[in-house]
Amino acid sequence: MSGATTSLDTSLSLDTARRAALALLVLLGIAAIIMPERLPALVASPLAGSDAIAAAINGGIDWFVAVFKPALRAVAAGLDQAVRGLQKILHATPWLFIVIAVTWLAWRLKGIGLAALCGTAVLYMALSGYWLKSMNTLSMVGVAVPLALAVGFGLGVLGAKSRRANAVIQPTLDLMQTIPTFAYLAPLVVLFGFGPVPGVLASMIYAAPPMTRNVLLGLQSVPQELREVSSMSGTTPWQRFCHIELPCAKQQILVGINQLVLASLSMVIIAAVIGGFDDIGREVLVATNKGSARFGQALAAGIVIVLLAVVIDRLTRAAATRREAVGRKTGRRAIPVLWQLAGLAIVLAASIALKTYADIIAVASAIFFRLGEVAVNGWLQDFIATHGITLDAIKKTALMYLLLPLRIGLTKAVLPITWGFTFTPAMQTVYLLTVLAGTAWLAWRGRTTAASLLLSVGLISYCGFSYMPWWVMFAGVCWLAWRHAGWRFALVACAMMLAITLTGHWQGALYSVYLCSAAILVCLLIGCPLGILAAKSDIVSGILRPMNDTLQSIPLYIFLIPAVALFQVNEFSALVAIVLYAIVPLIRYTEHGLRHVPPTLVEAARANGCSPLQRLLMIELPVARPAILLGLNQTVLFALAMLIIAVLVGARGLAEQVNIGLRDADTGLGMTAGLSMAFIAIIADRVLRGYANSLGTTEIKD
Amino acid sequence: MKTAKGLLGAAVIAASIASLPANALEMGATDKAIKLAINEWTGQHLSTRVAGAILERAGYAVEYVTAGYGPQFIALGEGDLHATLEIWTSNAPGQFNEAEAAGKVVDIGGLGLDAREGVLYPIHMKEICPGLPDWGALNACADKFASVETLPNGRLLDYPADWGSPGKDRFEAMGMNFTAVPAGSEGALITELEASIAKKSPLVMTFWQPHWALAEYETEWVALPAGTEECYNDPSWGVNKSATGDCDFSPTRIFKVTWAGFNDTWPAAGDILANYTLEAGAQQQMMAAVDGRGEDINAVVAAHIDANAAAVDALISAAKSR
Repeated sequence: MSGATTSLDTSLSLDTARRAALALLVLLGIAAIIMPERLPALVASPLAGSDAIAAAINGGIDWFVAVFKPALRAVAAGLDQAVRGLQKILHATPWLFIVIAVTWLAWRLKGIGLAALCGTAVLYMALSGYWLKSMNTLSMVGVAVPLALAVGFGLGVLGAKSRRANAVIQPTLDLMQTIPTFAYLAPLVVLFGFGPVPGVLASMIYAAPPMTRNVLLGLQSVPQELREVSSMSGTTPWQRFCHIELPCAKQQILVGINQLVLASLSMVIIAAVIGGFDDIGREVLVATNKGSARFGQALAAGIVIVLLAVVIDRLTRAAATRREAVGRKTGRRAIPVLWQLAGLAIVLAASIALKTYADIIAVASAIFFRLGEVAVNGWLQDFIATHGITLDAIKKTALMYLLLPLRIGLTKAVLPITWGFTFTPAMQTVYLLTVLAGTAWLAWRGRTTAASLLLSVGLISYCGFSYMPWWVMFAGVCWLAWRHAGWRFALVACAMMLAITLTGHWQGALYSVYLCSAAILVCLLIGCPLGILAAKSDIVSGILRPMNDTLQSIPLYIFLIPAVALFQVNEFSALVAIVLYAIVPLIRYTEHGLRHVPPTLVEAARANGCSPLQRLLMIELPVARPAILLGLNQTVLFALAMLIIAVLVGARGLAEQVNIGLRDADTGLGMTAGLSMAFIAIIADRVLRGYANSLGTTEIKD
Repeated sequence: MKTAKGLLGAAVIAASIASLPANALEMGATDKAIKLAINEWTGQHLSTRVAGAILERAGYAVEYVTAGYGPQFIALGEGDLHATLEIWTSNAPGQFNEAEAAGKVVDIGGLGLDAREGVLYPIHMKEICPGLPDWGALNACADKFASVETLPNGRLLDYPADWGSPGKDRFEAMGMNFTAVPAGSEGALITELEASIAKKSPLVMTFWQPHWALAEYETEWVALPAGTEECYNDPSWGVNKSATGDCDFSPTRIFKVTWAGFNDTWPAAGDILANYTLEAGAQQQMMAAVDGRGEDINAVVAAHIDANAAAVDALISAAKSR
């Protein structure tokens, strides 16, 4: 571990003047944090935020609407027709046929196991009473996916062909993935009218980037030799693209399609807040609004969405891997297409004939599902009643010892009524001296990363995110950006923070950063050990995988009911909801990283007589560190995305402003707050990825 | 649309001249479905479906369209949606004010739903704070409502931040020892109420009626000084001599909104909706049937219409003969 850090540190050799300047800056920062009353000049912000930018955005939107609405409405009318046409087809098709067709498709693509999984999943949708609503959702996805495919593919090819275009495309993709959807839903409704279309478009915006990234990656990794061979044999650029580059990139592009479809589904669900289409996401949302006594309904409908995601994911993934196998000899004998079509036609005819009976069965079985929902509700109520005291104790502990100190600092959080004693000046001095001494010792040992980590955690806990002097934050973030992502990005990061300040969102941003930091800390403490366990034991891994799948594809709203029912409306509930969603990548990447440690290294360690614990700590974890950091990067992005939903159970800050912007159709407010969130995400992403890369790259493929 | 309306109008007039007084309102475009907004809460679903059932009885085609409470006004302003029947003054979204100022939507009068907002507590709180429902007693036992974030003050669970903060405003004006915490969503408010009842834990919250939860759970309102106009205009009135609003909530009005082109398209339907009312008691009973007992909403609405057939028919014939 230390080897990697020192090599990094020596590469960062600063001349003495720079060192002195840095030391002075750090000292000033410490002074501003420790004695804010004595040094008001160091704490006050010279920059006052204003809503002038938000107002300008609103003005711009109004102008844009006035000019382009007729044209956009024509586009919207076409899309609306497409969604409704698809909806009619799906509604008219008997559910029995869809169940059989999906099962058959799964069997053809992969085999009996996948067929059983997909068949059961679709059967659940039909029998649980949410069939029509699921089909409505599917018809929105069905229109959003080809759109996102076209846009994503086009952008990907453009980016691969032109360096200049790529320079514009990359940051655009970042924004498309990090600006919360709620920020642009309201203007989409204004521009494209009411109904399913804004949801479809929001879904396209969110789902296109993973496709573009994969197309880019695929095209860029075409071996140079192949290109040369093709140009030597005199192909036109078009021929080369079609016959050389695309086939080479196909595998990566198929990965992109898989991610695109899943992203599209998840965004269609989120967009249900605007309504306009009676889809399954709306069902979950309305059920969530009815409180814990209706948790069963929200859960049953939520499971439908999970199953929908699982079926789509497994089928597209199977299709992708099957193509790969086409070249090789497959054992299964091909069935002539004509026979297949004839078989499908017979099944269709049979299911139309049996439609009445099938529908009766579906209605009857839905009654049992309703009973199940009632049972779940009763169970949740009982659980709350019996474990109320324990739950309250957990909440109080987390609020007192973790959340409050991070938000308002130990100086304000440690009181006789909370911690049972006063944080006297003497204690504060001891605390600060310990932190500073520790930092100095680590710095002297040359462990700059550890030293700066200790210093920042120590100081943030001392004064809290809310009372962080603005310039200390600025300087700290810029330094991190410069160190891990280069000076160009440091300038960009500075400009982003300036923009957050100027639009009046600085305090909100501090709050959002605080809540996310707390959530990420908890994710690290729980997620890494779980990942390690999963890497060491196939049983644990097998238990965790479906749980992870579920947590990732269930509509985010579902997390809110148990969080509030167990812990009431407060920051801790928000934290629980965020952690549940954001912990998954950390578990997955930790497991992945540890499982891919080169076996030779493990052997060598074993030969040298390392105990399993020594091997884990000295060999495996350090080697897996880049993978774990990439997982952490995903966790950070997921946590920021979940903030928007966590507002519904007590989170404040930027995400709250985005929600208000959506409700009041105040696009300026929504967009400035949404962009601020995107900026935070982009900075965090670049810094963490830069750090992971500097530790040595390992290929991570999900 | 205009031509369709003209043609149909002519046909309808021709058909109705024989049976109705000469100045009868036209039916309008009966082939074009009237789109009614379905928002996020059951009470609104009932207000809307009862109105829809009446319109269908009068011979109109009705379509129910799910719509977010805020975003629906964009659709109403443009005629993509035609009416929304339960808007609360206390949390009317900014979009409504904009659309109304621009003349795109019309406030067509109250729903007659006797609404009230106030500060609510589950009945078991009387054991924890015996002086309730008196507000002075509540203030005296504020510490029993304290949570880690609000210490030493009590915790008042207020509306979600985007609905405004009436509870906080009242309690601050009155100088109560409470800190308001915004709930985030309706689901969060109800879930807290249910959890508090299950755990017998302390809770005071800003809430409103009619709401199905009040039919299902035993609750009481905190008795605050009457929310008179005097209190809201005159700072010297009430406990706090330097603030207005140091009293109970001002009465809330619940009203109906239509698209500006509604009356031209469906004149008689416009009249029916303008005169349509629903009592809080009736709505709450239906809510208990739908949400509490899990009955089918269409059946509940049909039963309501059957029970009030005479009044419904009077409403319809009044519109047609006006």
